[in-house]
Amino acid sequence: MNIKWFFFIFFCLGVIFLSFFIGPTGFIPPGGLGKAIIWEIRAPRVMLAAFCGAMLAASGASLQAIFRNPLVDPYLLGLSSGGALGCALSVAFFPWLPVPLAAFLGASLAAFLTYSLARLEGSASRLALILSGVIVSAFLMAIVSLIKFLLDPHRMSEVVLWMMGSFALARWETVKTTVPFMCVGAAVLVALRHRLNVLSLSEEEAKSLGVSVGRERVLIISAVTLGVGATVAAAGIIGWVGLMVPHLVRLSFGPENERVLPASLLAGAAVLVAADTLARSVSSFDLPVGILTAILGVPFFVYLLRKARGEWP
Amino acid sequence: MKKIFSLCLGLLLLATGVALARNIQVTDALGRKVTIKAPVERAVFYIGYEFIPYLDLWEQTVGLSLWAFQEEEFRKLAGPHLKRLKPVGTATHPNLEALLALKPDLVLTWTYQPRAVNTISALGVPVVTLAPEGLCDLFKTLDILGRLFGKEKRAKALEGAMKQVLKDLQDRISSAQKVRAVFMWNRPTRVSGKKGVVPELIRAAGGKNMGDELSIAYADVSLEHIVMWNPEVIFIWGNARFGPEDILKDTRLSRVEAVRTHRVYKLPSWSTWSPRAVLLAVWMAKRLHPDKIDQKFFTREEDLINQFLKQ
Repeated sequence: MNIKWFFFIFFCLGVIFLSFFIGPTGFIPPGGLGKAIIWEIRAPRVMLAAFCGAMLAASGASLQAIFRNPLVDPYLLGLSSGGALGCALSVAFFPWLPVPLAAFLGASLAAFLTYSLARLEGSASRLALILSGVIVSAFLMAIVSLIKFLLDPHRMSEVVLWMMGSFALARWETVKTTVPFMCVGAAVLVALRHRLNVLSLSEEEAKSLGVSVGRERVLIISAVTLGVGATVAAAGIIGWVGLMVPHLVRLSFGPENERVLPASLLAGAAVLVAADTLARSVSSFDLPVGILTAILGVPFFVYLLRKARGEWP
Repeated sequence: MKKIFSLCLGLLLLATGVALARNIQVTDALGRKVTIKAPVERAVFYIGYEFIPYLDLWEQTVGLSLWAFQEEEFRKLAGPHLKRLKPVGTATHPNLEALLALKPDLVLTWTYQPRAVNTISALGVPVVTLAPEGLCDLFKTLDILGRLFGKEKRAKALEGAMKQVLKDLQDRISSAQKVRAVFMWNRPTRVSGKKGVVPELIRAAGGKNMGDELSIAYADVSLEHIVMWNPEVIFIWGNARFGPEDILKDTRLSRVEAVRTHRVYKLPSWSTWSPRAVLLAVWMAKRLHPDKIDQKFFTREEDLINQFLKQ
């Protein structure tokens, strides 16, 4: 078991380390620009991708556990559509409001709306939360579509590109302003990882074990909102990482959330860093990483499903 | 007697109008052959509306794209004429009811939405698509508009003035060394590639467009590319949400020569699908070759083009 963990950690950190030396200008950029390119352009990008990947995967694992649903991803509570709305509003009407801040506020607002809507009928049950997440997402995306419709093509392309997810413009300032939120979110999830197994039982069973289901669920949702909201602010919407990585981890480490959560953090970081390295190196263009995670994620997910024979571990 | 005279004059004018009206066939940017009864009297412009003031097409225009009403620079050109014209949606999302209500005899739109082109054509309204991918196409567009609106002489004169500006520019900078330049669109990593009007303007202005290695109009590239290209001058699209100050303080680009020498400029937000495109070339040349192009030269060339606004 310890050797397995050792190789896993070594592999993930190795991927992250190598990615510092892979880019469109080569292993070490020529012309004495190595330091400038690796330190100023690649390093913040790799760091941001690593933290975003870790946060998305850990959030996916946590939400899949508390909702007892393998199809749940970190954007379940409307965070992606809320972020998209924030971005669209900033581009269309509030140019003085930076897109990352607008996206973060939009994502947080969406999560708040989802939770409030789910609580209309009393306690926010799993089903009510999932349904209200769908409703809020659909509503906010409709507004985003309206704004996109009203925008001229060049400005619309800014919103569309943002929605595809990208680390192309990552800078140290972005790392400094968004990573602390991700760290706080991830720390809360890691601290609560022992409770996830209990929270994944039925509500009655969890209560009978003395767990305050409502309170702890709110805590986890808040941590996810904070952390994933920060990833949305940092890089836009990046799909599949939060859905796929926890499944990948469960296949290797089993279903126990004490192991799944920390392993998801590491694997999520490595997967997103690898995807972003491909995105910037595979052609002359800097492809939006969200496109790549979807293209690579879907067949990989099919493979995982076949390997698991349709069973969710 | 007076009445009979007026009637005769009216009939004469009508007959002259009928005699002058003729069907002309144009091949548009999609390669469609479209027959139009010229001169056009009720045109709708979804794109290329900056040609209207330069060719004086106000009386022959009834509708405009929604964007035209929002563009500050176009509003300045249009002045009071804008009040009379109706918005008809956009090229990507035309408002068919508003369009048909204007009873247009020509719709000018772009090539990117063939479905809209087919739908409007099916409603019996002639549609001509425009997509100038370079200065040559811009001159062709001018020629088409001149023929469609019966303004051949004015269009020829305007084309002559535009070519004169390019020639004057060429005469001034032909001996100068090409300056490495990058054109940034709505984000610093979206740069102009080889195609389109912008790279041609950069070349005409004595610049070497570093994005020429990309075979498309604009592409998202890594900042690493921009650092490696090491442009001496960076131009920013006039409608971008960022300005030179953002690029100058961006530490990721601090090694780039244009940033070190503070040669980062935001263009005026004029359309490149317009006679003013050649003035953008002069504007850029002034930044690329400040020793060869001065404000006096720019003003002179600007007058050459803008005299058409006063006629």
